[in-house]
Order: sequence, then C-alpha cells, then structure tokens
Amino acid sequence: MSDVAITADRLSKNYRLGAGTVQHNTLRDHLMHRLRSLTRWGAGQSESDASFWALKDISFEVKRGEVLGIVGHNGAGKSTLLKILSRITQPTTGTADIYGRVSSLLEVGTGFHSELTGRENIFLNAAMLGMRREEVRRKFDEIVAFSGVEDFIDMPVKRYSSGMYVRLAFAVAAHLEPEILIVDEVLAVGDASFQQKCLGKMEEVSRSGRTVLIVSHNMTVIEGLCERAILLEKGRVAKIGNTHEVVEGYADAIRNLAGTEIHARQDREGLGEILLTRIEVLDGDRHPVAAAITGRDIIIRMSYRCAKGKEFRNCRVSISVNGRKAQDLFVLSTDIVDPKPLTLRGEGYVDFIIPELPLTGGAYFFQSYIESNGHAQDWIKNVAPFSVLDADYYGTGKLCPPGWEANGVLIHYRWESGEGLSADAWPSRARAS
Amino acid sequence: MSLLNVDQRSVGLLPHVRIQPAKGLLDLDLASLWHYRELIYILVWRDVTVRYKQTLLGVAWAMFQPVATMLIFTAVFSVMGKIPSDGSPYPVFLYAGLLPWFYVSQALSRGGTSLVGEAPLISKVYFPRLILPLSATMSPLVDLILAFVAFLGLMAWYEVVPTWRILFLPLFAGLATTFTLAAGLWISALYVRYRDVGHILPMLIQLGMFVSPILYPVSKVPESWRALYALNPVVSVVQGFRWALIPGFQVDFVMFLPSLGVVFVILIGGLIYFRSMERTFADVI
Repeated sequence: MSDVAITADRLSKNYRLGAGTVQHNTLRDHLMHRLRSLTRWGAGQSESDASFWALKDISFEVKRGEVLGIVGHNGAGKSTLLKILSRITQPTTGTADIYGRVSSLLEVGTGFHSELTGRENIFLNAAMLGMRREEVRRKFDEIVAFSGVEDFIDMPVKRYSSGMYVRLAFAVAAHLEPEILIVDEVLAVGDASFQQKCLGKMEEVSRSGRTVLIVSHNMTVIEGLCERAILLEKGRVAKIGNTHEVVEGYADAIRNLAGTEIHARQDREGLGEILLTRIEVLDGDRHPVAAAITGRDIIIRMSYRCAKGKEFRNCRVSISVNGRKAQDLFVLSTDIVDPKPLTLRGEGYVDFIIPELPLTGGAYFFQSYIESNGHAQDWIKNVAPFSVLDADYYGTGKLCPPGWEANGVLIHYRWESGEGLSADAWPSRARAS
Repeated sequence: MSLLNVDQRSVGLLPHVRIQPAKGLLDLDLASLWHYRELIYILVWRDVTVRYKQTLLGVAWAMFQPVATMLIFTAVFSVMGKIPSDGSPYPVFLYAGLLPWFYVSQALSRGGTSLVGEAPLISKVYFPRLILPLSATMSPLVDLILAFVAFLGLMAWYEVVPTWRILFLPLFAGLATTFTLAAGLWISALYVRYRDVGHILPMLIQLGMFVSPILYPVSKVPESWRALYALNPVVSVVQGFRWALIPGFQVDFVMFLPSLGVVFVILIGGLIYFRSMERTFADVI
C-alpha cells in the first residue's frame, strides 16, 4: 500500500441543471419555480431532474513519484477531477484516497490581500494553503530570497508591480513542498515568463520523485513529463496507460469530430451560382480530422456545388487562415500556385495540400472565396473554425514561446554565431533548422 | 458528512485523506477544524489589521464609533425624547446596550457575507468552510474589547463602580458570539445560493436595533408582548450586558430561557444546513 499516492475508485460528479444549482440564483426565481411546479403538480416533474455527469466512474491509481498526465477535450471533466482531488468540491459518488499533502499551482496568489504587506501576505497565504506558522517562519528568508522582493517586503502588496506580486505568490507556493502536486495548465494565469516558471517548477518537482498530476493541452509537455496518462472523454476514462498510446487516442478522438456543414450560412456575399458546401481538414492519409497537428502534412478540402446545367470558366478558389487576433496569416489560392485554368461544373472539391503545417497550436478560422471570370461567386468570412494542436515543429523538443498561440506562422530557419567582426567567414558553431 | 478523515495509521507519516460524498446529518469534522485552527487565528488577525490600516486613528476608531453614537443617541432619545433608563445614567445605560449591539450587528454582517466575500478562495483552495463564518464572527470581538475599554472610562466619569457581576460578562459575550455564528451559518450559506440576502441583510440588522432593548429599557415593552419579545436572543445579550455592567440593574432571568432555546435551534439547524450546502459551495458560488 505504501507506494500508492492516489487511489480513485468510481469517482462520479453530477451537476444538476434546472431546479438546482444553475438557474435559480435569486430567491424570486426559486419561489417562482416552486409555484410553477405546484400548479402543474405531478405533470412536469421531469424538467427539474435534468442533470449531467461531469465525471462518471473514474477509477485509477497513481504510484508515489509518478507523473500522470490528464488529457481530453474542453468539458471532458479534467478540471472537475482536479477539483475533487484537491477537495474543493465533493464527488457525488465514489471515493478517492490520497496519501500525502496536496497542493496545486493554480492556487498561486489566492487569498493575497492588497492592503497587507508582503511579509503579512506570506503568512496569510501560507496558512490558507495549509502551511503551519512554524514552518513558514523557518522558510521565511528562503521564500523572500526566492521572490526577489526583499526591499519591498514591508510594503503593502497593492503598491507592487504585477510581476513582483506574482513572484511573491509563486515563492510561497513553491515552498509548500507537497507530496502531491497538481497542475492545471489550462487555468494557469500570468504572463509568459510566469507560465514558463510553472513549467520549470513542474519539471523540477517531477524529477525530485514527487507525485505530479498535470492537465495540459500541450501534447509535447505531456509526452515529455509523464510516463502514464489518462484520456477523459465526456466524463469517463476513455484510455489509461502509456503516455504515447493515450496521446494517440486523443488524436483519434479528435478525428471523429470532423466535417463542417456550411450550407446553412446566410452571411455570404457574391452571385451565389457556385456555392461552397463543405470545408474539411484531412490528415496526410486523407482521414478527416477536427484538428490539425503542427508540423504534420494536412489537406484542406473545399467542396462546392454549381448551379444546374452551368459551366464556369476561369475560376479561382481560395481559402485564407486567420489567427486569433483575426489577422490574415496566409492565403491559399488556386491561381497563384498553379496558373492552369480551372473550370467548375456540377459538384466537386478542391484540395489544398500543405506539407508540414507551419502553425502553432491554437484556434484559427478560415475565410473562403470563390470567383469565376473575375466575379465573386461565394465569399464567407469566418466560414469555419480550424484548430491546431501544438507539436514540436523543429524537432528540438521545444515549443513556441507562450503568447504565440494562433498568432503568426512558423518558418524554417537556422542561426549561426561568430566572434569578432569578420562577416565573411563561415562560423564553426552553427545550428540548422 | 466527513470530507476529511485524518488517518495516519495506514502509511507511515503521510497524512491520509479519504475523499467521499458527505454522509450523515451533523458531522462537524472537528479534526479538520482543529488542523486548520491557525487559519482561524490568521483570518481574524487579517480582518482586524485590514480594518485599521491606512487610518489616522487606527484602532481608536473601535472606541470612537460607539462613543459618538452614544452621544448622539443620548441627545436625541434622552434629552429630547425623555426615554427612561431604569435608574442608571442614560449614557451608561445606552452604552452598555450599544456595546453588544455593535458587536452583534458587525458579526452578523461580516459573518453573513463571509462566504460570498471569499468566493475566489472557495473555488480555488480547500479548507473547512466553517472557518469563514467562524472567523468572521470572532473578529469583531477585538472591537468589542476596545469599545469596552472606552466603557470603563465612561463608568469612571459617572462614578459607577462595577461589581462582581462584571466577571459574568464573557458569558454574555459568548452568548452573543454563539447567536451571531448560528445566524451567520444560515445567512452565509443562503447568500451563496440567493444574492437577495445582500439586500435583505442590512435591512434586517437595522430593524434588529429597534426590536432589541438598546435605546429603551425592557420595562417599556407592553406586558402582553414580552413573551414574543423574549424570543429575540439579542434581548438576552443586551440584558445580560447591562446586568453585568450596571450595579443594581434588575433582570428577569426567566426571559432568557426562550431566547436560549432559539439560539440552540438556530445553531443546530444552521450547522446542518451549512454542512449540507457546503458540498456545493464551490459549484454554485
């Protein structure tokens, strides 16, 4: 038994909709609801029973010193699971046994009071995270040194810069020394350098032989840090085991969601004799996928339908990709890359084949455009979302720095360095892309 | 209803926690409260510190406020309104009532808003939730003590010498704390569900001052209303304070019994209600 850190046994969490937790936030709503159900006595009771299982029968075991990854789509139950394990909310049924002190990096700065000084906040915050005063006193100097705010320690934290604030908060959390660390990257706040610091802490803790649970959308982080992983799907364990297999399973799950229905869109411009009917993202094997993966070959398929019995000459089909700030990142257009004439009739499709997708992980969207003889036929902005999962583009084990998600494109390059001013000599230390 | 069973037998020194759905009606889980006792202390300390930070008078405010109120009310109700005070000087009579009333009103409003006011904490960190209303009802005790010091000055001014009865003061302060905690459990838990409480609570507190014998003596309450009046726990608290502080103050102790019963019922009910709502705080707040 002693090598087990966490045992979860059929953990389930039910959220009630309707009469319960979500809708009736004021007394009036609640009373009205009561009244209404009184008048329809026995008739419409089912409405108030609406509920859903955020988690259903989750069972797993984590050994001491193990680093376990938890992956899944948004709403798969990852955060709920972490909340149950850190005792913020209770399971509806099932049990979990936890051996050792739990702390989580999403608690950074929780309970800081802006009127109190840095010194006072250290004690306050530590007490909230379950640290004894004795322990804080012992580690006090270390915490202050780590945070680098020594000179301001007796100043109210409301006068701190946001950087100082976060550093101090992180210093407290970093000195908790829990046996079990829970990290929810999805909820991690703070600037890029802070997230980097969290990642560093995660690596450090996992190397020190402590138990770590990581939730991340970044498959590279999961594959790099975890030996084992769990794939959650709609609140259930879809896969558990070797990290690589679980990550593959995650990609499979995403594949099942492919295909976008376009025909219902009303917000289109153009003559409308040629209509876009569908946009699909396919992987290199021409299987539809809901998300592409950075650096892999992908195909964007645009299906169209022409007005009956007509033929359209000199056509141009194009699609552009927009980033998270709605900026155009690049455009794919039939006429630019290959000037051969394109004639459209009946139904068909155009495939754009992109080798080594040069986009970072994130949410993008497409803009589509079809024209014939210089006349716009069908133009739809924001025609479909396009999600990309981050992966290691350069084969170096590194990802783009945070802040670049769905923002800019990746290009191949290399760099060299040299000493002195000689511009012509080829330096000996060079790294290829 | 236990969320936390500290059980150190199974694995050496590592604390063992079993997470499971709450069971039973009234399991206070005193073990985890004890484990987090330092948090109670530090939250009380925080409340007091924050209240008087960046103020010129600092903790003197805790004395100034009741004294100023006493002066104004004395002018209005004693000098102009000719309200009797059962023999003792009206300012002393009034202040002995304001003393617990200031505490009760502060403890109710701070206790009642203690959960919603700490919403980010509740959705991010685990600790026994009971700690929040508990520490919020305890922190105004510090103000009570300071206001009491001012009262000693007032007694000296009127040359009122306290008797042995003053030793019973902590008992009545304890009754006030128990009552406000009991009510705070209900109010804070209801507030999480229904934000209406934020509007109702200040109104109720204001009303409370007039249905309690702060400005007037109990003798002014019509005989036929006394039984109903005695259900108000604040009546007992205020009468207790006056009895302990004012020499020769007459109190009908039989009137205490109904309100003690009321406090007991509210407390037990409040603990059960709080505990049953506790499991959904993080989901609803």
